[in-house]
Formats: sequence, C-alpha cells, structure tokens
Amino acid sequence: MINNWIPKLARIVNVRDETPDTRTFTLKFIDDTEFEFQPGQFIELMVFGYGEAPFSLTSDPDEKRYFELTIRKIGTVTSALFEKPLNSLVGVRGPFGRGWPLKKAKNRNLLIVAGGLGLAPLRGVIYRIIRNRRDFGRVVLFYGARTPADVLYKDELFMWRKHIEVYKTVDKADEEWLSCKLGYEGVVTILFDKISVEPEDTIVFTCGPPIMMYFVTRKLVELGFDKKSIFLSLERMMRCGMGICGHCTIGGIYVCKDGPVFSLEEVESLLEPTVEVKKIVP
Amino acid sequence: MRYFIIRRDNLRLFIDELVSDGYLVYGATRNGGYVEVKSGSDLDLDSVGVSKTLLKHILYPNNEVLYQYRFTDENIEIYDKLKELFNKKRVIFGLRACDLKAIEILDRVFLGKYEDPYYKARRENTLLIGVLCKEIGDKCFCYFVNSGPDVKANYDLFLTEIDDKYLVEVGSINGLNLIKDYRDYFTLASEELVSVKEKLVKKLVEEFKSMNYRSIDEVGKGLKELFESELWREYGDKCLACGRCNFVCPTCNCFNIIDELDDDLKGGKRVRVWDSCHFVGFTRVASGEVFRRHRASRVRQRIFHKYYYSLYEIGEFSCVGCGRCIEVCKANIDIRDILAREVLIT
Repeated sequence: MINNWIPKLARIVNVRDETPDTRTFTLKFIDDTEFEFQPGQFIELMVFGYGEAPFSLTSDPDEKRYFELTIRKIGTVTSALFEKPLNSLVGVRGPFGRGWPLKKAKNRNLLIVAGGLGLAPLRGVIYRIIRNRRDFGRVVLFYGARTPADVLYKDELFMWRKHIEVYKTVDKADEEWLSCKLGYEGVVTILFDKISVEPEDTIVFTCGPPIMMYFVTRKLVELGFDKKSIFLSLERMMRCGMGICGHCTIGGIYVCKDGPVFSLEEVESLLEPTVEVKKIVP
Repeated sequence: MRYFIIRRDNLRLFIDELVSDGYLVYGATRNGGYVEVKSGSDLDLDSVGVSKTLLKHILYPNNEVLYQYRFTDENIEIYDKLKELFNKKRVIFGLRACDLKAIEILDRVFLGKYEDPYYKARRENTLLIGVLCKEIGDKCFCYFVNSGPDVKANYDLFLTEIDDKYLVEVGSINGLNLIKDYRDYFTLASEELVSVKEKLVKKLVEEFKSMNYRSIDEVGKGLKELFESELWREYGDKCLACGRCNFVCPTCNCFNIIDELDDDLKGGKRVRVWDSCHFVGFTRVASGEVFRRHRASRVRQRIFHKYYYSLYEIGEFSCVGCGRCIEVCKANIDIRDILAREVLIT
C-alpha cells in the first residue's frame, strides 16, 4: 500500500544565499529518482527532529534530477534547516496541489506579478516559458521587494531579460539602486502606472503577501482584466497536503488539494475573505 | 433482508466468545465511553442517549505514531508504524444511529481522494454493531440532522431490544458472516418483530417531532446569508476556545502532526494529534499571520463547516446530532441554537 505519510529521503546538494535571511536549497533524492512536478505545486519538507513545513517548488520543472526550494528563515523548521550542513538528509512528501495553469497561457500574453518571496513559486513558470518561448506572446514580470537587499534571484533576473520583460521595484530604494537605475521605487502596483499592460488576451499569475495580492487584484480588475484570467497562489498552513487535516481551509475549500493556485473568480466567491483583510465580524 | 434474534443473556455470551476468539471488542460500559471490554458483562446495555465520551479514538486515535526514525552514521532509517496495524480484528458494539452516521462521515474524509492508510487499516478490520436507542437523551437531536433515530446505512449488524431479546438486522456481508460464525446464538426472526421495531422507531420520531427545532435541510442553505451575522460575535464572546467540542465530536477530524524526539536524541517519531479549529494557532503560518484571529470567526468556522461547507466537501452535513459538544461545553454554547434561533428563519 502506498503510504503518503512516509517522506522520501533527499540530500541537500547545494545552498545559495539569496538575501540575508533567504536561501535557495538544491535537493536530490538519495535513490537518484527523478522528481515530476508542476510549477506552483508544493512539498512538505521534513527536517528530522524538528518537524515538517510546506514549501513551494521553485526550480525548473524540466530539470528533474534535482529540485530547489527558496526558503526564508522564519520558524522552527526553517531555522533548523539553515543549520544543516551540505549533504544533510531531509524528508520530502509530495508534490501536492494544483499548480499554475500554464496551458491557459499558451499562445497568449502573460503578466506575472510577484512580491517578495512570492517570486519563488513563479520561478518554475519563468523557466518553462523560457524553454518554450515561442508558445507565449508578450511575457511581463513585475517584481516588488522591500529593499534592494531583499531582491531574490538577482543574477537570474538579468538573465531572464533576454527572454521576457522584467520590471523591478523596491519599497525603499538605496543610492546604488537609484544611481544605477536598477529599478523603480514604490510598491509593486506603481509598475502599472509606468508600464502599459493590456488586459486583452492576457493571463495573470500573481503571488505575494496577502495585502499585496489584494491591491494587485483590485488594480487588475480596475484595468479591465477578467477575473477568470487572474490566478493567485494562496498561503495557508498546509499540514498534511491531502485535504484531511483541516488547517488550510478557507470557506470550504482546501488550499492544499484544491489550490494553492486559484483563479480570482474562485476565491472571490468564497464566504471567508482570502486576500483581503476584512472586518472579521461586524 | 434477513432478520435474526439474539436473546439478551446470549448477547453477553456472544461478546465473551468474540473476546476469547481474539476480537478487540469496544463497547459502552457502565463507566461511560466506548472502551475495550474483556467480557460481555462489562457492557452497559441500558444507558440512555449516547455515550458521553469518545468514539472516534477507536478508528482514529489521538497521539497516533505515524512513523519512527533513527539517525545512523550516514543515513536516516524510517520505520513505518502502519505495518503493525494489520490483522487486528475489532468489533464496536452498541453504536447508536448517530455514531454510525459519524463513522460514515469519517469514512468519506479519510477514504476520499487521498486514502489515509492508518485509518483504512483499522476501518477495514472493524465490524460495527449498532443498537436502537430506547429513549431520547436530553441533548439528542439526531432526527433534525437526518442521522436518526433509525439507522440507514453503514452498519454490519443493528440490534433493537424487544422484551428479553434483540432483533438483529444485517447490513453487510461481513455482518452476515459474523452471524454464520456464531450461529448458535442467533435464530431467525419473524416478520412480526420487524413491525414492533418500526413502532418503536415511530414512537421516537413522534417524540422528536414534538421538539421545537427545524430540520437542517431547512436551515443549512439559509446559513450562507448569516455569514456576517451578529450571532457569531455573541458566540465568540462566550466561547473559551478550549476545543473540548472538537475533541468529543465524532466527526471532527482535524489534526496536527508533531515531532517527538527520543530520549537519546538519536531518533524520534511523527505523532498525529487531534487539533481544534477553536485554537488561535490553528491557522497560524510561520510568518506569524493568523487567518482566523477572532474567536467569533473560529466559532463560525466550526458551525459553517458542520452545516454548510461539508455539504460541498463530502455531500452531506457533518453534524450527527449526538449532543456531545453540548454536554461538554463549559460556556453553555448549544449547537442546537442554530436549529432553533428565530433569527435564522429570516
């Protein structure tokens, strides 16, 4: 019998610093099996002795021999993970959930709006687009971070420019950012005022902190984007990944098995607020 | 369908024999609660209403160890506890109609799209023997949530006490096989007894009908309009967020999984523990964000899950009307209010 609860052992084969508190870990299964996943899906990562936590898969899905996770040191499991030396073993369950609907974007334009760590689950999408660039129309990435130091994948962002349009902004710029014209200053929604994006025939993928997604989706609807064409990835505490433990429910849906990627239309019809920090009860 | 009879004194002997044949038998005892019994004389055959304590722990135990791991020089060895679960035959005796419905709901959750192998291993080896309630308990409302008083499905045997004997209804092949294996205790029943049972059920139904509640079918669909109601603040102010209602509820299935290190620090285990949607940490993510911070939103979540969301998740309401949560609530929150409140009609 398949027991979904037993993690598969993987080795940390590489660690890269992204920002002062964020690293990208490269993992490889110890039995050398390949890993099939879709961008936007997540795994449950087990740090033995500390616990398990959900992380989105961030690497190129067509590179199946290894996979990457971009992780911020923030809680028990991540703190323990950051202490692990290279070649340590961790456990992996998954992949779980429904990823980004890239098929829907085929032969159409794609707008990607990411905030902070929200770029992580979208990195796999960008790699898949680069590998199949002719299948997509205009592809634009809007990326916002708090400060220049918080920008993820700094080198890759330059590389991606050869294939897609990349626009960056930081909430609070420093001298280098401004003098070298590395990007704009302000929250990610200001990019909509600087760069023109047409709602016609365009699919939007967005991921970031709840409050950012709230303003981004509001802006997109204002600009005339169809709610069916806006997709967002939600964050909840997925414990089991299989729709049983109940931790990730929002108004009757399970983020782990029904999502984590939803269309705006789907989540807007839920009773419980998802992206908007609304009055809880009158 | 075939009907059988077992005499009251034989019932205890039947249980004795099950125990001596290696079955783990769980049943309501005089001390209350579904616990493992070693002899038929331990069973409480006369209690009113449902057992006040737990049921779900038999199929879905709290603090269940999923697997153990040991650190070795270059590796980590994982030992799957699932292997230990197979081939333990179990019988749960004395289940009420609401309890049987509750197990049906747990089946839908744990044996749905992703099968939980630990639950499955237990469930597949467990026979369910139900008993018709003789009286209605003061917290009971199974009739209004469509789970009783008569049983509909999901049982192996169902017993109705008539004078000094029990009418036995067979609900599955496994139930029939059990009777075949212990045929000395059972005799065939006459049609007449079946109509006696029907009369007993009718009497219970009439008694329920005299209560001032509305059926959940009527209430459930209207609940949506009450999402922003003042009601939740009222409940939220009363609720102590202790989680007792979740732990006694036979259909509450939410859990957390924690790591427990061995004493020598060279290994540990993953343990599944019951969790409560009333706890503030239930929706907390690592960044510190809590998605249901106010108690009102958590009380609302429980009620909506039982009476609204689950209709879309598993196709039916996930409250069985057993009244356990009313029994244990220290703040006197009565879930039947949802069925009784005038505000809910508008």
